[in-house]
Amino acid sequence: MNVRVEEKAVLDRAGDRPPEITVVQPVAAKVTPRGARSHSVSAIVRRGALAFGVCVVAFLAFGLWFSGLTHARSQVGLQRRFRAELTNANAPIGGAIAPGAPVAIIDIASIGVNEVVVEGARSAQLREGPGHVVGSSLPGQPGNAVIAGRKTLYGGPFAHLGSLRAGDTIRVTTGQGASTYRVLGVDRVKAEDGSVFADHGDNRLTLLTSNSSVDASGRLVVSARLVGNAFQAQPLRRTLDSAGLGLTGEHDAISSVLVWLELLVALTLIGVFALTRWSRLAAWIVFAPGIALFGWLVFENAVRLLPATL
Amino acid sequence: MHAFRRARRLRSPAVLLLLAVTAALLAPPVMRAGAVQVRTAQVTPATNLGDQVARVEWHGFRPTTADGTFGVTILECRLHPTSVNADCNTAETFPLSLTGNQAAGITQPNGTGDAFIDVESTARLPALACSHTRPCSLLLYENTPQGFDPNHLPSASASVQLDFRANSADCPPPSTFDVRLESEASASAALYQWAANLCSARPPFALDVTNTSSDAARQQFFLRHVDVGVSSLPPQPGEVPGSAPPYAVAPVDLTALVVAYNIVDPVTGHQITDVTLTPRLVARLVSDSDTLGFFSDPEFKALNPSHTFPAAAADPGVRGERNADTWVVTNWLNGNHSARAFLDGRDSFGVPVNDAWKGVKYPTDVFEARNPNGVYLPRTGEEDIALRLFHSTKPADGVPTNPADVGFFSILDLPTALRFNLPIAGLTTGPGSPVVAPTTDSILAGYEAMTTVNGFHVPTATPTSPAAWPLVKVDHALVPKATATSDPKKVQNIRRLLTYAAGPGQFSLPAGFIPLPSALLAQTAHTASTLIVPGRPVPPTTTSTVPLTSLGPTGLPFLPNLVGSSYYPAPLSGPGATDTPGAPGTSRSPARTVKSAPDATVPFSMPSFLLASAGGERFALPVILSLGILAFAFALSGVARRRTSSVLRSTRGLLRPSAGYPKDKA
Repeated sequence: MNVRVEEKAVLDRAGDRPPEITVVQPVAAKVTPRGARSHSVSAIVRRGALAFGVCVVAFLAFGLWFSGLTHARSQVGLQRRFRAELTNANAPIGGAIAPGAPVAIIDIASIGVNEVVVEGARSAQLREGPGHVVGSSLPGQPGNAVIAGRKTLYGGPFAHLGSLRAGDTIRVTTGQGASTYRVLGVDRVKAEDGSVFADHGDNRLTLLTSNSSVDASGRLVVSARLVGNAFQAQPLRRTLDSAGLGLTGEHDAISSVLVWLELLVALTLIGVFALTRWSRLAAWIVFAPGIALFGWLVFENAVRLLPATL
Repeated sequence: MHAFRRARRLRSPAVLLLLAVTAALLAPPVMRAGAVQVRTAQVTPATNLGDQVARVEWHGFRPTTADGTFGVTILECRLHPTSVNADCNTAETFPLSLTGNQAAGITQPNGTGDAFIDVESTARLPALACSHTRPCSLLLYENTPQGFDPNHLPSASASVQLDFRANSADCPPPSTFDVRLESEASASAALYQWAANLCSARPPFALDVTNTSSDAARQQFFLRHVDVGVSSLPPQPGEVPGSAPPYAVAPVDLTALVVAYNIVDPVTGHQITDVTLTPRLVARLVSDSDTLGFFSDPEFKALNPSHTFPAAAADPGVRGERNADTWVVTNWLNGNHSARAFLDGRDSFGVPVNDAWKGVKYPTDVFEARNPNGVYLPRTGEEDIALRLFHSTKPADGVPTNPADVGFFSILDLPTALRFNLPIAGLTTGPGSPVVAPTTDSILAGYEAMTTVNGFHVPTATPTSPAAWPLVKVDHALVPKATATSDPKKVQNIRRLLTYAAGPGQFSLPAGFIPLPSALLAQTAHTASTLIVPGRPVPPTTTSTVPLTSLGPTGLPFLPNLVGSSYYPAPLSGPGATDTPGAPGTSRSPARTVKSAPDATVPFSMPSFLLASAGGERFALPVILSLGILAFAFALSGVARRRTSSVLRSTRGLLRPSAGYPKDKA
């Protein structure tokens, strides 16, 4: 305990007054000594809250930035593959198309969208780019072709869909050729509104995304009508995939999240233990990459639980 | 050291958490492992069923012994049966009754087994009335020596639900029919499906379908007994009476004919699914030329060397009424050189033709029993032929025969063959020539080879391309032309039907149909557009709202079935099946279709609760973000508080330096 002693020395030029030393009672200072932290519940809770806050910030960083990198990388691979298929005339145009296979390239010049569209609109497929909703027509063929895309995460390809205006052009290229669509309008619809998937008696393209960046409570819908004639209709799956309509997450991702979370916690505990035995630098070098990797996997699977067009 | 103590304090709760999560993840598999004694069953397909064959598998049953004890019986029942007699279909199997469909199976030593069952919907089994709004179930139970009380359920049983697609039983009973139609059997599967869809359209449309044959349909249409007749072939010369209405032709579907079979290898006990035939072999079958020795035919053995076949073949299942299928097949036989030579008694393999068929004049639209021996017996009705083949019953018999003893062949249309999951013979012109199977590509190639006669598309005897399926057919609707005296309501109804047929109807076809190519769609659309009563205003395009249903073949795998009278899988790619994605053949040139006059704002058949995000996913991200902000605020508030208090203390110290100092006692 440090004691503050105030010493007051009075230098008396007169010479004969002895200096007065006053001892002050030690101030009961509530300065906590270094290294001996309080084990009170509130301190632990506070530290836990800070850790949670840091995790949420990390999750945000993942969602807004790292996932965009994943999306960009997927698109590069898909572009290469789809252009090769277009050249060899074996791009899928009908029948049972494997989920995740590239089926079209969508090009909206006015908002700078140039993406390869994959088959399927579940969370996993929308990671790679916009997805063609299974059960709707393929773009260029008669009927209503529905394409869903993400607004915020994984690069948010459809982030600026709301700024399209009637008359804007959308170009879609499939294995059958290039089709041009003219935008009819942009709407926000409620989640239960099924008319976006219905056939409206003409040849159209419907683009879907979440109605808000954070809370996917409905859909933002862009409708566009085909200019000119449609290509030959091909036999296609016609029942809509109820898990691939853009507002649901993949519920079975919870088991993946738990597994990776468990591994992350285990590795973190081992790392904390190692911190006490090894030097700080060694522990960080060994465990930080693994923790980062598992954290990434936890985040990636957690994003699968969120609505697919978010 | 402090950190270690800290870590140790945290260790126990962390370890507990780890154990809890591990337990949660491992519990389900452990529980499942302990539940092996429960009897379960699965059926494929389980949803969107019509009248079709389905495959049922079971697990956890007692193995069947050598004397048949614990064999499994499968019955079609109401959804939650309480009594076998009251709630299940226990009718005798075909041919003893027309509705009996109970199936039997054997359980393997590992407790599993499978069988095929002919699932019946309302049209064939009104007693259960299975439909989209009224699901049914299959009940599987073990046959035990002591039996069970049929007024209750057997104890050693399992059940599985059957969900049906919309059929006529889901339609409200119509007061009048908007269009009355008589049709060729091959088109009837599509027409029944369209009728079931249209009855729930807005406004509702009641379509009455009578399923007979092309000849009967034309006759009834010309006699004005029906509004529309659906025929695969044009009227024969002299068939059209003077009083017949002037008519236009609108194609409604494109399909094919096949030779289906039911043969079990007597040595291996497995179903045979890769038989190849030539026109000459088909001619041998339909001319009843020593069918007993059919499998010893040298050309047959050369084409099918890899199996042991049964000792004899049964007389073929062929339709006895006048119909277009017979004409198409006999036209094909007549156009093939070696088949014609066989029928004229000049067979290159030396097999003699039955004297009653020698020199027979083909094509004809009726298979006659030219030598009434009571064994060769063409029967009436496509469904009868198919059921007989499915239940391996000879045309003239009343009981089934084991298909390992006798091989069965029938001439059927492709939708019916796929419905009953029957294997289909590949066709070739001879050993060494390519074998063609009825796929989307080969049927479209066969369509390209068709000729047009008065608006009807007729198959030629010999298509030029070896990759073309020779037995293709287009079903055409004969519709009366609109004149000044036509009933305008009727004309409008027929126009609506044709517009539906050329539009959403093509996306609602059962297995076995190819969506109409653009030229045929254009013809139907054009015919529809001419249905205007002169002098009357054109009726506004009716916005009919029709649910889209998705149909397709079941893709059932080939399965060995040790019990004699059940079924085989057709390893066949029909339309809607897994087409080779993007194979160049699936789109000829990017032909542009003219979309027919749109009349539908089609809503769709998914319940709205499935559209919204199920559960609270939409709240996940906002909640996490809010919690994160709160957590940060809370955590930093403590730090802030400490920092602020220390800052305050130090400033206090600066501002009041005399605190605690004794006053200067000067």
